[in-house]
Amino acid sequence: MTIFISLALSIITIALTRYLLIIRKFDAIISSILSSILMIIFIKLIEYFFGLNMNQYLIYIYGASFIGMSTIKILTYQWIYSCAFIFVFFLNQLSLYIEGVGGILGFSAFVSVITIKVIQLTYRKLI
Amino acid sequence: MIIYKQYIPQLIAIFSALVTTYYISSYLQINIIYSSLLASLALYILNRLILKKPNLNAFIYCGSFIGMTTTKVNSYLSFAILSSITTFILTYLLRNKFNGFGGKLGSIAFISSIVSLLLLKAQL
Repeated sequence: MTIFISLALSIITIALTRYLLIIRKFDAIISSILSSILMIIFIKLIEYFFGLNMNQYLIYIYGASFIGMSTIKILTYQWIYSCAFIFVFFLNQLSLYIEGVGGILGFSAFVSVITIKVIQLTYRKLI
Repeated sequence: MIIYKQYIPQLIAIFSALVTTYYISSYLQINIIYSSLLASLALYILNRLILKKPNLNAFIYCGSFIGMTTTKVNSYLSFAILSSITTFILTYLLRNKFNGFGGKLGSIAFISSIVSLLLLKAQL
């Protein structure tokens, strides 16, 4: 259940960051910050109305906002959401070995973007 | 001259964001994610309204990620200075690589943090 919620929140955050970046034409940094803040407000509302503890999902929201900062030239809409799967898995695994080091969320996001980019390029060569 | 006009402000931007994030999380006892967001937003607004140097935003964001490091070190000031310098060097080495890839700044912060912690012989 935790994994599904992490994935869902990650995908929504990616979409929101992308919307702010591409449709609203905000700067990548402020798109990431704003989408994170909006998603935090969203999970706080869920906590308030449903009494659930959503603090554990903050890292997925913040990290997913970095994925959303990727430009369309790197990953199109069809491919970028699949980064969430790699991101959640990789972050969960990496956290078992490294804790308390800054940039771990961004590194996990970067690995997910690179992985999907390689898959995308391979797919284009095969078809 | 370029050192003063360009490089020094960028180094200061990284260091300021790093220290601000650390201060907010350690002394105000706020969650590390909130601290990074607050520090980034505050410095972004400061830069937009007063400094008006958009090229510093990425350095500010990167610095706030390093500030999320909670590993105990003997001297946080040494860690802050060392990681600011390594971040700055890495940013310049990778300035034409992986542009448009999300997570690039975080990866730079991650590598800088790891290198600095290893150099300071911190327990990871």
